[in-house]
Amino acid sequence: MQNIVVVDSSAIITMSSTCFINVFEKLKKDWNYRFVVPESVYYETVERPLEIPRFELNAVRVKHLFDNNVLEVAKKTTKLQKTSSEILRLANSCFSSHGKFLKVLQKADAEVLALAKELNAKMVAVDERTARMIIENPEALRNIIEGRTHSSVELDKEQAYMLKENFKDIFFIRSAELLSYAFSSRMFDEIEFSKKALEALLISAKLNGCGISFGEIDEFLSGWKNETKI
Amino acid sequence: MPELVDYVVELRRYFAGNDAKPLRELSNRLIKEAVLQDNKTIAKIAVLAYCLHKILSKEHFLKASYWPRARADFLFAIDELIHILRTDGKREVQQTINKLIRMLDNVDKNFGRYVQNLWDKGKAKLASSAYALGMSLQKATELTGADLRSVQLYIGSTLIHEEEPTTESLREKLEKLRKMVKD
Repeated sequence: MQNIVVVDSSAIITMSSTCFINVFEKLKKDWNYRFVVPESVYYETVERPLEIPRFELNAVRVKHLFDNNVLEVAKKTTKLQKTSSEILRLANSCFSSHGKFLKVLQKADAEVLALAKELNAKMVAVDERTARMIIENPEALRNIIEGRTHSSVELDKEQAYMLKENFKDIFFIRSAELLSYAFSSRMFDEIEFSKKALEALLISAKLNGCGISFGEIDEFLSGWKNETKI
Repeated sequence: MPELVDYVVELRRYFAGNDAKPLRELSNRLIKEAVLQDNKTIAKIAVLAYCLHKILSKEHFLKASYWPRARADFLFAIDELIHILRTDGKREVQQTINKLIRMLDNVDKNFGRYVQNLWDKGKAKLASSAYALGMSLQKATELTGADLRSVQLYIGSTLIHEEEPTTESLREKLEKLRKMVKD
């Protein structure tokens, strides 16, 4: 059975906005993995933007990948919906402020996570930080919410642990990792193999919304030496 | 904790006094409240405060011949909203807010200078604030009614991700990724 990466809207948006959406096709061949999305991601990355002139071209590019089976849409099943509801319930009862639960995730986030669980996916590609951090580091997410809302925020560690347990074998990646992998494997014909090109690639991903800081990009690039693998 | 009507009264005061900056600050407070309460109506008032602040900050809006009439119409509709909120007319609240949104759209269509309209821009801006406060991108767009792609691109232009901790660095994740796909 082929391994699976479940892809969130945010990672597809970054890839299409940086004009490197075709990386999915190259990675699929190189890894022999399937890239799968729930129906909600197809709606957000193709159907809805097709109606918005500003984003129509990007939507057409993404649609092309679905039409050619590079990206696949998983059918909504009763089991998937049930898992999705349970994940959403758990996620939205992890944090509370003044006795009230903070609803940090939405149905579409839960569908991505549920699909990864149901398909036994190896990876989830997600560029926005909340869905990623609530699994990887809920304490740090609590600190962000508390620090920015200036309100006392409680983390229910038991709920967070139960949520995390669902994804203990799943690796969360961003488009930054996908692009860096593709770059270091020399999958880009259109740009030279240089530190400057890699820097431009990562900054473009960041400016298109990938959850990565300039500091992290700088730290990564500091280890780069021309003609060597990163 | 202030009621929604108290916020709208505050909004009216700043708008009537042509005070753009306090409207912007009110918009920030309202989106925080909308996040904590998961309340779309508060989010709409936050976007409204943001858009009115934008209008008051642009000379080409204020110097337009149409503006005194539009301003009076806005004040009238805001007064109507305050009255409805005080008399607890829940259905009419949404209708009156929608009326204010249509009025904003009209002003923008006549005098705006951008392809993306002011209300949509306001929704994307406030959704990015909700994201900064900790909501997911999807949740932030649901709360404000903004378009997902617009919000993500807006977030990309901010420093939101700069101050956030990383569990594993790009280098560590890339190494792990290489091992995984080689297995």
